[in-house]
Amino acid sequence: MFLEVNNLQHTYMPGTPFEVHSLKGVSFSVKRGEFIGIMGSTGSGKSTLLQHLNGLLKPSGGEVRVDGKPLFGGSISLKKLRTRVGMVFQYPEHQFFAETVYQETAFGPSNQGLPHAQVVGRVKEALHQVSLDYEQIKDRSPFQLSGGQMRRLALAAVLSMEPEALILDEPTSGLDPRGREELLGHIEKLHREQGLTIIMVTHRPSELVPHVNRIYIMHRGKMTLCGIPAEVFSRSRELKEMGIELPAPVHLVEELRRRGYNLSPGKLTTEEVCKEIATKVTTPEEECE
Amino acid sequence: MEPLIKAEEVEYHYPGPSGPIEALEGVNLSIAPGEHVALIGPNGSGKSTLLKLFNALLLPTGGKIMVGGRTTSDSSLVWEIRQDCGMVFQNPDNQMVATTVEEDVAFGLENLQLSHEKIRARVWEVLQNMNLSRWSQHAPHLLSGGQKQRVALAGVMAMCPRCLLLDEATSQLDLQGKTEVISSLHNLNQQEGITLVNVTHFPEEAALADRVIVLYRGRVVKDGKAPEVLSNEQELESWGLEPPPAVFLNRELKKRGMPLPENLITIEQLVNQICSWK
Amino acid sequence: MSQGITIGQYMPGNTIVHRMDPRSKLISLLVFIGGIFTVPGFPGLMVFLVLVLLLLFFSRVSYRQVLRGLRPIMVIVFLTLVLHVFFTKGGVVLWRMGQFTIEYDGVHLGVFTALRLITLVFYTMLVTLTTTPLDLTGALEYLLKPLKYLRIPVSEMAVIVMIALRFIPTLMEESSRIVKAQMARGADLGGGNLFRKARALVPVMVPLFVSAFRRAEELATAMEARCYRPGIRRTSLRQSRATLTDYLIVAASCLLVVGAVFIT
Repeated sequence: MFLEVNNLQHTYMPGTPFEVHSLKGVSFSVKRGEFIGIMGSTGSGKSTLLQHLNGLLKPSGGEVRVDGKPLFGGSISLKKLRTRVGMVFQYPEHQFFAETVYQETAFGPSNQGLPHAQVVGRVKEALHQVSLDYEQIKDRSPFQLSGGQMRRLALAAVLSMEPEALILDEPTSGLDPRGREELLGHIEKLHREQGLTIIMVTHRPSELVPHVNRIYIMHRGKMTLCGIPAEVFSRSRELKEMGIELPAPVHLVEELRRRGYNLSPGKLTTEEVCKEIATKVTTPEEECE
Repeated sequence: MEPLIKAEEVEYHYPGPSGPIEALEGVNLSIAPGEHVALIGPNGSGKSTLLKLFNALLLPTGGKIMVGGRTTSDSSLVWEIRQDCGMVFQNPDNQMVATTVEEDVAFGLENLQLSHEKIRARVWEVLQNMNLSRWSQHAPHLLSGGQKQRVALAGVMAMCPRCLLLDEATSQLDLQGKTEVISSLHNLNQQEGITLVNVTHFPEEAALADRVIVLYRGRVVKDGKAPEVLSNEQELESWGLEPPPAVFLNRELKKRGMPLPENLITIEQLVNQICSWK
Repeated sequence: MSQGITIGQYMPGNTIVHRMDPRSKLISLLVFIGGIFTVPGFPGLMVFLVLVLLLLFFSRVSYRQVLRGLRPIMVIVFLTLVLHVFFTKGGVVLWRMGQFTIEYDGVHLGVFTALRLITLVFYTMLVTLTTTPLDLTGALEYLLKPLKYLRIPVSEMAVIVMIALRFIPTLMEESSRIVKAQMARGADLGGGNLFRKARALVPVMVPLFVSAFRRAEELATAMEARCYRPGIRRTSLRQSRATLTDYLIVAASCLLVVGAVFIT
């Protein structure tokens, strides 16, 4: 088992009047190479959870294990762990500090203590993986790129550490539809071609549905639902109460079911849903036949 | 009726490394009071620029813009125009100036030099209307994104504008925040007749407007009622845009023989149409 | 993740001191500071010290906060005490080891000066614990108004202070996020010598500065859109009303200080 989370608890500012129980006992596990989606409304604890997965936060209770070893047991170097489990924060371009794209991308591998020649290789490969042209872009300032390019550069800056897993916190925030599609395409390619384990937090279900093995739903510090997309999104009433967005086709089916149509749940894509509706709903002409 | 905002042959360019860069060219449009208009277009199409021309944050390099009959290039009228046309920006944090919600909502009124009593009364009224009273003493960092944006909205509404200009105001919010803000805007438009010009890159949000204007490479390429503009998949795709998801669903259902009209752009409309067959 | 930080240590309450006009609080504070530094001997100083302890008690401020507020200056207080005790000479010799002496004047002056500093901090904390930063800024702005005639932009500076206060928690959260993001890329922000520590700060300081500039630009645009322009006379939501109580308190403070300084 690659990643295990056992009864994880986290309290911010314990013992003060501002105490907040951000995580109230979360447990799940992820196998190598899986693509996991996590959804939850504000205050659900999803960002806190992510920061536990690479040891940026210490549990108030419970534990996180990578390859069977607990993160805070003394047997793992957290600094090394963070190169194996790479994390891309929300609006990652806000962490840019270097003068050139090369330096920004080289930050990770340099911190790993790699020799210069190897760092160059890593930078080239990482930029290639996000479709940025190394020669054209390496000397430009990170701050002069377009929004979509900056986002891809931020991803490359984590990929240059050659992590085994990628944790992404709302990677498409603030991007326009085209930028979103491009970025998701790259993430999906990394999963497919490099076998990276991916854990992605998003509030858009359409970003998860085709690729994801499992979806976890978080609400007020607990994991309330988990399963394959078809299962999770069939619980539409609960999802609505928890403030979770439904994929548009599912939304349509659920609205029609609410109005009395007998459609089976569990259909996710536009094709499946429309087929279901076309067979189960009688149109005016059909009634006259 | 006299249009609230009128753009005539508007052109806007700014200096670039190798000559001026055209952000807007040949823009002609007028927006009537009470309209809810969505302004869409791919990145770099000039939507944000056009919005800033409407409240005189930018001045056109060619043509003219009239707001409520006043021309934006008259510097003595700029403050009246900005009071009439309030703007809400994308980043919820970078609009809040004061250390409490109450103070922030009062900021604009303090700039307009209203008396202490009038400011007090108006702030109280706006916070009540927008359901924000219980947070009046809160500091900004204790609020969620959606709440911050609604406070920004309250601060603008306190100045009694006739028109709201929204520059991707929901793009940094999560579902809950978006719903709250969109619902507040909808109420303001429907119940108080406030004109809305909403720059957004979410097609589902554009679908809530009455009228959609498409900007592409600095020019107005489409201007019409929302159902017509947003259901034309091919056209939208040629401009690098996507129709709302309801349009795809509609297309698939029609392929399977369901007699649905062309221009359904929201899930709600689809559902209502289907239910009308019962 | 929002934290319930109270900026500038303000603790809400409804005591007389809390309700005083912030301007009279500031004026009284200045009067007392003057008194503390001019009072010649222990009896006068004790009057001030006892008074401020009583006021702190009646303002219901948490003693934990008060003690915490003392912490930063304890080093200076201790140093002052030690320096005077060991190096100020005069009066009876209290202790001798070879050439080295500790004499009465040194101890007397050391304790006196230390107590003076502590009393001073107590008075300042009485004001900062019972007045919001915004009210303090407003009071300062009002008291500094005459400077406007010297072309000093007092109102604009007040707005700047308010914006700075408003962004402190936001920037703290952001710097925390940036630190985590860089640590997630293997940055070592803990150990090493001073030089390495300084270099390690670059990946945190640069993004913070860039972000601060970007915020400033966006905020300025938003302020302009709400009709702000420097140089205009702005009215205010808040209106400090100086009541009879305020005048009486300021008068009483003056009398007390004069009395303590001259009578003792």
